[in-house]
Parts: sequence; structure tokens; C-alpha cells
Amino acid sequence: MVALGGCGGDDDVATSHDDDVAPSTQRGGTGPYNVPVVHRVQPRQLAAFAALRSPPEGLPVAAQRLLRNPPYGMNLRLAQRIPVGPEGSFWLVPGKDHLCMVSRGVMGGRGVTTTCATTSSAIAHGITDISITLPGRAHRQRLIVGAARDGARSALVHTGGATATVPIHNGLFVLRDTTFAPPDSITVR
Amino acid sequence: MSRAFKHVRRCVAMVGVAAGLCVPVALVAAPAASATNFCGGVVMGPGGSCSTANATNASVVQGSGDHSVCVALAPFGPIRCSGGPGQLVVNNYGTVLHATPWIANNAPGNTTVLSAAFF
Repeated sequence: MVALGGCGGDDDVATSHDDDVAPSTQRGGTGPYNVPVVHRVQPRQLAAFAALRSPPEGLPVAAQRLLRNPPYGMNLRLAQRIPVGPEGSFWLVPGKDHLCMVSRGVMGGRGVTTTCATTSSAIAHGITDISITLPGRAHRQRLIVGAARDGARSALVHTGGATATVPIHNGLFVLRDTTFAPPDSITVR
Repeated sequence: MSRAFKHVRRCVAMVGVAAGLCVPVALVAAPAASATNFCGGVVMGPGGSCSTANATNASVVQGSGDHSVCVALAPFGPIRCSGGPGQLVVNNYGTVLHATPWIANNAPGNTTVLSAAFF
């Protein structure tokens, strides 16, 4: 096993931390950023997510400034605020054939995080924002915020051998726990 | 997963001191810049991770894999993760950091990095 890059002083561009794989130095290709901004929510997205069927609030200007160049043609004016609680601010944002979740102020972070899935994946599995405190912090926390298709009743969060069942209310689910690992997978049903 | 997070713990211990003592965070907006890819195409085993070999100046790190992945500009948190296969996660810190772009595998099996970049 190779020590984490940046901590060991190697000169390679990238360092893999598995014994059986080679590092890669591939460059170029920023496909998600070459997509024109969508002008309206796509019909499949509208049909599947009730949150997108109300008048959009739009993303606050401060968050828009941080994003600068949103991926997948996300239209920040079509952002829908997701009422999660005190842990941060969350928005559901439609893009071209993708649905994205934008978050700000989660776990004390000053920046903005975006997660995007294809519309098909978002319908099948939901779209989630997952945050985990760094190792060494006194207070361990994991926060998973997800948006699910209309009619979904629960999300199954698989982590290692454990599965947490999280109820979905109004198309949203939130899991707060102290598990110090991201989920292996999430499914909605 | 635990292996990958042990790597982060090590990096936090080693880089964190340097970051705190001699690598201050630049409280300025990041300039528009082209992305630099790292670890693209790498196959990460269970609990595996991949990062640049050296710390660099960046404000954004992003990644996707054929399973869920996590990204960070170590040692700065929180760690942000995608929710599943093919999903993109973009962690924009809002400030330029001297940090190590890092991506980790969340799946119990192998995960191929579909994209990983910082800018």
C-alpha cells in the first residue's frame, strides 16, 4: 500500500492507494461543463419530483458566485430550496438529463457542494448529498440528505453490513448518524 | 472503506500541522482555471483511495466512479460523497487551499474512477 499522496513526497501526478493498480496521469476532458444551460425543467423530471413542480426560488447569488460554472447545464434560477433543518442549506437543481443537489454551509463548510445524477438514476435511486466529518474530529457526524421520486416511501442506506431504513416525507429523506463511513449504496422504494 | 479513511487520518495528521503552521488558506476567490485531472481510470479496490502525489493550490475537487466515491481537498473537510454509480460530486470550498486532492472508493468491490479533477 502506498502512502497518501501529498503526505509522502512522491513526484508522480497521482498516487493510488491500492497495491494492484497503477497511477494515472490522464488530463483534459471536462464534459459536464460543456452542456448548455437548460431553460426549463425537463418533463421526466417534472413528472417524477413534486419539488420541481412549484415556483422555483432560485439559488442565492452568493452561492451562484461560488459555483461559477455549474455542471450539466444546471439552471440555477430553477433551484428549489429543500427544507432540511439547521445543518445547512440544500437545493434541488435541474440540468440537462441530470438532476443535481446543491448544498451550502454543511458541517461548517464555507463552500458549495454539488452532486449530480442522470435523471434516470435520480428517479431510480434518488439524488443524495453525503457529508462526513474528517478523521480526528472530536465529534463524528454523517449527514445524508436525499430527494426521492414521488411515491417512494423509504430509503435504504447500505453501509458495510448494516442497512438503515430512512422514511421519506414529501420526497425528502435525511439521515444523521455517527457512522464514520460513506454508504456503499442507497436505494429508494 | 476503513483503509481509505486511515489514509485520510494519516494525511490529516501530517498535512494538518503543515497547513496550520505554514500553509495559510488564501481568502480570495479562486481564479477561473482549467481543471487538472488526477486518478482518472484508476481502479480502486475496496476501501481504496487515490490522490495527487503532492499538495497543490485548488479550490474545487470533483469526482465520479462506477460506484459511489468521496472527494476532499485533504486535510480540509468535510468529506463529500456521491450517492451512487456515475454520479458526480463537486466540492467547491470557495477559497484557494494548499491541499491534496483525494478520491476514495465507497463500494465493497472495485471502483473505476470515471473522472477526478481539481481546479
